[in-house]
Amino acid sequence: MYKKNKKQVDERVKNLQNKIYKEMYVLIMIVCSISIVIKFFKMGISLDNVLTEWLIIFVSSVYYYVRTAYLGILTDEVEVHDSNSKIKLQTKNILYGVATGLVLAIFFGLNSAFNYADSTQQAYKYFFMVFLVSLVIYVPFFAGFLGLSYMAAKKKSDQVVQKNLED
Amino acid sequence: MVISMKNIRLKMARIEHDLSQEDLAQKVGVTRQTIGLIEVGKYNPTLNLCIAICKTLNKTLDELFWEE
Repeated sequence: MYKKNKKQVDERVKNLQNKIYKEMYVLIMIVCSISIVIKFFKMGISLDNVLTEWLIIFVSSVYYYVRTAYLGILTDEVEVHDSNSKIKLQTKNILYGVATGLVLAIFFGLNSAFNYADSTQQAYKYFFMVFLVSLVIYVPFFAGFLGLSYMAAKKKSDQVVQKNLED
Repeated sequence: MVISMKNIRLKMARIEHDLSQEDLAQKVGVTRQTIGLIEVGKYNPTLNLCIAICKTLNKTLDELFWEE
């Protein structure tokens, strides 16, 4: 039962290592975020300048999301979340999408007002025009994207759980 | 403790107490899937979780988790 196995790893060491990996991930995210902010201030707001940081954040987030779905623990995460929170994770995801769209619309609106308008009146006009158009484009896009990707991931996770629980 | 095969005794003890997987999961603070995976022998629970399950089901570790 307690056969010595060469590949056996001390579980205490393994757990602590995993804890460090988790902290390391948070650290990398913080460093990338700081880098993005500094570059925005120093080099201006442009995606080209922060592409590497953006890719690190995006790819690692997508990787985590896909892995949770394919290991089936997304189902557990949803179950734990939904039993502790009044708002379901599905609803939250859509709300995050709406919020992201809203923030982007405000950002683009302000950008147009400050950079392209010659008078205050024109600034208001540009802001509302760009804000409304961006709102119509980005809110459905992000809400739909987050909502649908969540549904697909949850469906996959549920399938994996079902398969795992089969005798 | 090696749990590599189906844990029928855990399932029986749970049913004896008239608990669903979800009920037991709630009592010991895990998800239903975790209890399900322990019962089918696909998850090796920590000693803490084993003890929590034993206490909830009024059984000893030997009775639920020791393989002869």
